[in-house]
Order: sequence, then C-alpha cells, then structure tokens
Amino acid sequence: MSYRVFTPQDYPLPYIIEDTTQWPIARLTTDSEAFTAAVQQAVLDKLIHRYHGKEGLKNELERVLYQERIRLTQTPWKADPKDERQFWNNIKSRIVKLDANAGQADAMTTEEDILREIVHRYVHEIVGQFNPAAFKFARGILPIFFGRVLNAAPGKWFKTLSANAKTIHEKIPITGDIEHIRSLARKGTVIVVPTHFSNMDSIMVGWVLNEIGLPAFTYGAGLNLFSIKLLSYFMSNLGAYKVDRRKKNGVYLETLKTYSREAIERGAHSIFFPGGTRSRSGSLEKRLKLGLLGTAVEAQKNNFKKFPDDLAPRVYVVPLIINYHFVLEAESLINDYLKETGKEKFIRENDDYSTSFAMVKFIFKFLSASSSLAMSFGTPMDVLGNSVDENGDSYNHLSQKISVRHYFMNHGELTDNQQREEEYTKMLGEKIVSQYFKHNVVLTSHLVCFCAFELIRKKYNYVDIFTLLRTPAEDIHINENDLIAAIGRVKDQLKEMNKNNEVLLSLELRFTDEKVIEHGMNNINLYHSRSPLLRSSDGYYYTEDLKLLYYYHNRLDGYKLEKYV
Amino acid sequence: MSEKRTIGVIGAGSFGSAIANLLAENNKVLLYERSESVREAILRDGKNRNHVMHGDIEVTGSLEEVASRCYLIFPVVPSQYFKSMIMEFSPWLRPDHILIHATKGFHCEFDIDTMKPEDLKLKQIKTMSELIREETCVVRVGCLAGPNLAAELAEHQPAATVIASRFDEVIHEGQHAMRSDRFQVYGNRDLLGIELAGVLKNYVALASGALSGLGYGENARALLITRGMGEMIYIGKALGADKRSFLGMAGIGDLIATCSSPKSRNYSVGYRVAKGEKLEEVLASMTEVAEGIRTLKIGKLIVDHTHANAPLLQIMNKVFFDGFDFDKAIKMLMRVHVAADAEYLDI
Repeated sequence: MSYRVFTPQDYPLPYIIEDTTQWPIARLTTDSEAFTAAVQQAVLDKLIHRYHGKEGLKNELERVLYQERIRLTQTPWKADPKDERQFWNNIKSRIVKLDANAGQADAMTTEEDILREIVHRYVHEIVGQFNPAAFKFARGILPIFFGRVLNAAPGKWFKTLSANAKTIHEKIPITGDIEHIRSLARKGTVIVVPTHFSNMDSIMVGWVLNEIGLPAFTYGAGLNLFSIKLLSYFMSNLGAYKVDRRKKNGVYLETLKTYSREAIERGAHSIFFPGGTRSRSGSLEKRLKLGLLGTAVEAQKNNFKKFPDDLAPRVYVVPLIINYHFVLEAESLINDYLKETGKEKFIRENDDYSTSFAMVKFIFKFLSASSSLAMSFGTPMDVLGNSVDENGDSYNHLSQKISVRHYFMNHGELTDNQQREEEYTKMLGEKIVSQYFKHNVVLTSHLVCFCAFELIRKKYNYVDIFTLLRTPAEDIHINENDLIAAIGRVKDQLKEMNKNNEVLLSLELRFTDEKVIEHGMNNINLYHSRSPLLRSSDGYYYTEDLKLLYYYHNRLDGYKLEKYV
Repeated sequence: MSEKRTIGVIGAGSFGSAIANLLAENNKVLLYERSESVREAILRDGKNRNHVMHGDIEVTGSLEEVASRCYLIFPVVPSQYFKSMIMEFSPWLRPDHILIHATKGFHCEFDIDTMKPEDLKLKQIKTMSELIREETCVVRVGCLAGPNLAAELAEHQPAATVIASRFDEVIHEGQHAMRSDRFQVYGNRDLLGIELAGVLKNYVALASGALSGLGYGENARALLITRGMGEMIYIGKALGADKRSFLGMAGIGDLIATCSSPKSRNYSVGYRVAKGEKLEEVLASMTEVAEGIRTLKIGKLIVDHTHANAPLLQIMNKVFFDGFDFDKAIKMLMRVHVAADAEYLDI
C-alpha cells in the first residue's frame, strides 16, 4: 500500500490541534447554551412542521406521554432523575387543560409550549460536555494503567519494566491510512463508524483516536453505562452524550438526531456505532441502523446550504473495524442472538458489564493476551460513499472527480428532500458494510473457530443449527488432521482474497497450520471459563461451549468460506 | 416557474421519438440522435418514423450539449447499444442529473450464445439502471415502462405508464414532465421489478404473435397472458423483485397491450415465424430491434441458473432456436402440470 505506515514507536502521534480548548468538541461545551438552544429550536421547527396543526401536535404529545408513563412504571432505572414522575404528571395535567382551553385565543398554555418543555428536558438530558482538565487527567493516568496491566499475566508484574516487554502498540496493531484521516480531520468533520462487538469498543475507539492524534470525538453512550461510576466519570467529561434506549417516542428520537446533526455541523467529530447495538451473533454487521448515520448526510447538506461550495465544511465517514480475540460479553450476546432468532423477543439492557470490577478484570485479561486485538481503519468516504483524497475531494468508483453538492441539487438548486437523504443513507450504509468486510483483520482465533465449527456442522449436517447447538458438547470431537487440513485450505483462500483486497490478515496467519491453531486457541481460551476449543492429550479437539465456538466462528460468516472447510 | 425546462432524450428511434413528443407538450426537448442523416431528415421533414415531431423539439448530435443543458434526461436506446452510449455520455454527467431510461432489455457481460448456466454469475446480467449506476456518477436513476405502443402514442390516444425509482424525487420529476390530459404517469419504488416487467414481457409478446400466426384465438391468448405473467413473477422473484410490480401498468398492463397488438415488434416477429418464415430472415427485414429474441436467450440462462419455474420460456427457446415444431410445443405446454389458480401470488 502506498500510504505512510507508522511503527509502534511513532505512537501516540501529535495532536493535529495542540490546544485542547480549541478542539471542536471543547468549543461545543463553551458554546453550550447557544448549541442546546439551536438544537431545541430545530427540533421544534421540524416537529411543528411534521405534525402541522394543533390537533396533530396534541396527538403526538399524548403518544409521548403515554410511552413515557409506561417506561416509568415498567423499566425504571436507578440512574433516572428523581423528578421524572413529577415532570410527566405536570405535562399530563397541562395536556388535559389544553382541552378545557380549546378555542380560547388567550389560552395560557399551547401545544407548542408543552412540546418546548419536553424537548428542553430531553436536550439537557442528552447533552454531553468536554472538560479539558478531565481529559488531561485521563491522558495522564490511562497509559500508566495500560502499561501496568499490559504485561501483567500472573507472576509477570516485573516484566513491565523489562526490555522485552511489549508495548501496547505492538500488541494492538493499528492499520489504515492514518495520515489521510488526520488530514481530513483538519479540513472537515470526521465521522468514525466502528463495528460493535463489545462494550469495550467505545473505550478502544476513544483510545485509538487519541493515539492517532485526533481531537476528542463525541458519541452517544447508552444511559445504562452511566451507572458504572468509573465509566460515568470519564464519559460525562470526555464528550459522550447520553442515549436512553428505552425512549422510542418520536420527540425523543428527533431530539437525539438533531443533537447529533447540529454537533456535526459545528465541526464536532463523532462516533456512530451504525450496527445500533453490539453484534449479537458475533458476525460482522450486514444491516445497519441508519438513524444517526442519516444525520451525517443531513449535516452535509445543511453545510452546503450555509456556505458556497469551496467553503462548505465537508463531512467524512471513516469505517473502523475492531477485532478481538475474545469478547467479554460473548456468552450473553450469543444467548441473546439465539433467543432472538428463536423469536423470543427479549434482550437485556443490563449485562455482565454492570460493575467497575468486571470491567477492570476484563481489561486486565485482555491486555495480557499475547495479541488481544487489531484495529483497522477503512478508506475515508464522503457521505455518499465515494472515496476522498487527501485534499478532501471526492472521487467516484470510476475515478471521476465529483462535487458532493450536486447530489443535493435539483434543476440547479439545493433542495431539501428527506426521502432522497434516506436513500443516500442506505447507500452509505451499504458502502460501510462492504468496507467492514474488506478491512476486517482475520485473527487466528476466528480462523480456528470457523474451521472447527464448520467441521462440526458438516458432521451433523442432518440437524438444524439450533438442534446442533443444544447437542451436549462432550459428544463432539474433531479429528486433528481434519482441522489442520481445513485450516490450510481456508487460509489459502483467505490469502487469495487478501490479494484481491477483499480481507486483511493478521501477521500470525503466516504461522504453520499447527501454530495457527495453538495461537488461536491460547488467545481465545484465555478469558472464558468454559473453553470454546481444546485439544485432548490423545490428539483430537473438543469444545466445552459449543455456542461460544459458534459465536467466534460467526466472525468469518459472509465470506463464503464454508466450502473450503 | 415561467421558463420552460429543457428535457433531454437520447435516441430518436420510434419509442424515443414518441417520448420526445410526449415531453414536448410540457417542456422544451433536446433530442440526441447519433446518425447525422436521421437528424437532417427530422429537421427537413419535421417527421421521424411515422411521428410528426413537435415544434419544441431541438435535435443535437452532441451528448455534451445534452448534459450541459438538461438536468432530466431520458435515454431510450436499444439494450445492445446502451453501454457504449452511456460510457460515451459518462464524462459529461454529474450527480445532479436525473436519468429515466425507457429501454426494455438486459445488458450481458458475456456472449449470450456460448454462456453456460452453470458458469453464469447473476451479477453479469444487468438492467439498464444498474448499467447507469456502474458507468456514471448519476445516482438518481429511474425507469419508464408500460403499455406504450409508439404508434398509438403518435396518434395522441389516451395511455398510461409507470416511472419507477428508489427516489420519490425521480418519480415526481418524471410525472411533472410527462403528465398530460392524455397521458397518466404512475409511480413505483420497485425499480428492479418494473425493469424486469418491461424486459420479460417481450418473450410473452413473441409467443402471443406466434399464437395468432398459428390461427388461434382469444382463449389461447388469455391463457398465455395469465400464465405468462405468472412466469414473469417467478423469474422476477428469483432476481429479487416485488411480485406486485408485475400486477401493475408495466406488468399485466404492458402484457395486454403488446400481446394483443400486431403493432408490437415482438408480436410481429412471433407471428411471422409461426407463419413459416425463417427467424434470421424476419430479423434481417426489421428496421428496429426486437428485444424479445435476446430476452428469450438471456431468460433461459437465468431460469436454468435459478431454477425458476418457467415452462413457456423453456419451450419458446426450443421452438425459436432448436427448430422445435410449434404444434408439438403447444401440446407440451398444454400438458404442463397445472398448479392452483393464481398460485404465483403466494410465492
């Protein structure tokens, strides 16, 4: 590849803007009042336009009230503010009064007033802040913390000081055209769209963006995570805004989207997890949730409306693929997935991640694995999915230079058209998915689990996947030679695909087939109490948890590798 | 807007001329034709292929001019020439162009006479909108299809059509440009379905012409049209289209028109072959392309590859290319196992 490759010693790269108070996200906090006011006004304008007329607006208010009251009784959380009930009771009595006052020109409260109050509350609940002092603190302490645990496999504490200790950058390879991304972040707003497998993701994404010298990014974090004290401190001061997944009413969703759009228009680099929630099956996201992604498209259009072409700030989308050897929540995720596909619509909002202790324990294990993960940046794109060069100019698949403004024009004029933007967002989503597959780094553990599970599936091809997954694990054996042969064949095919730029391979895949198995197994078994794959003394392989094996196998789902096993 | 917009049309064939005339009722039209003699004839006579050309139609031989003067453009070029046209056009196009094509054919990335179904990749068979997306930077793409026999349009008879696109904007632009007191324009978001309906009906029209050539009447034709539509749904479904698209103006609507009218090119090819003329001779005698013959061959590849249920298509292939006897073919079709009536609505 023709771009500059950084070595582990180069990291962390210098910030592209040295003065943290000048970071876009810091300015968002400085201008917080104007920012939240702008969000609030934009939401009101949009909703009043959408539910034109008092009647439509009132119906919507009633819907919101109804859904919020259900939330209050059915899914109350400790983190909820104390005055929630009071607030919504008050809204209720004011909606009731609307009827009494109907037809009076001088009515005290209007539908608009009530809507304004609700939106105001939502905006202030969502808004995040960036505190340069807290950032400095985090920047100071995290490397020490990372460094401490990095080589801290039991009994090896002293190694942190020794010369052959691996640095975190040797353990976590960062790939992609970093210089390109840095130059785009100087010119416009960068939206990073990572894959989502674990709650660790937001930490790792924050870490990697800091390492490559970008100003802090803003992102929406699940409100439930704010109940973990350690996370909450960092998240609330480092620019995260709060997303309450329980609230699905139209007013809340519109507020959330407007918040995101307004932040992008104000230059705040943002992270979206376009998969919505963590991948339950363990496979790469194939269908994305487009809600927040759409705000990037809309923000770009608004920038064109506000500025002449060469001055309009551009929005760039950068996929990021995070690959773990093992995922903390793997067990509960795959169980959720199987329940979901088994049509039991029940997904827990809280999970094994609920204490600071569990998290620290995981980070510990995870950093002490010999190579825990890989972080791979995809090719930067504009909001239509065209690639962009280092100057920020767009080129389509035919290498024709493209004016992005033209996509939003009709008969020579910039026009608003929501359905058009929805289609553009879908197109962008398709491009992101194809980049996920292209820039996915195949780790030894994924390859080993893929081959092992496919061999089992072949052996039991007369039962469906659900029946298979219920088979007692002790009944299932894999012949060593079969596994080695399968690994060899799939590896060859992956190398072929790698040549055609269809996938990336981790360095360890250069090992012999036997070594690949050993490396993959060692890494994956490090964390789970019941191992996905083990070798018996008399030379066959078995599993202690077939579902886990299936979960890790799924990471290579979608590459059509099955026939090579 | 007081100033009339200029709409582009690419291709002054019979259907291209009809579309240009329809558009000229509401707009100025810039009609591209690559043949200089045809351009001169239009300028000289004010006529082209039995169409009296509207006074608001300008003729040009420059694709660049079409791209620079028009935002909304209707390519109406036979499928074999579509790719070379669009590649030539591509450097002038921008993302603020809207293209609505009216070409009822497939593009193939291979030789249709030597390709084997087992080697086929479905991606190698493309609709015109897919070709536009691949060869240009235009994303707002649509397709026009429906019961629109050029000769009847030329006589200003009442008619309707469908414009399909993923973008409502494209549908609205097309409706705005074409709608008139004698022409209705329906919208559909299933672009693939409408394109397939437009293409696949070609071989059913061939069969319909053949029925007439053999002297059969309307019962047989109704049987053909109904089951033909069912087959189109099976093939469409295998390629990812929505079955409802085949029940609308571009599906059953177009089928009824083309299967009933000797004015349809595909119909007349079927008719003449059934009357005993050689296929090669019939094709050689025609001034315009009958897409149905290509559709038969490509359709067979698709059906053999996807195992879609399409006995009519299979037997038509035997008749037209393997010298199979018409009477025998009809006997075989009549012996096909009959499913429940209208079962194609349940797939």
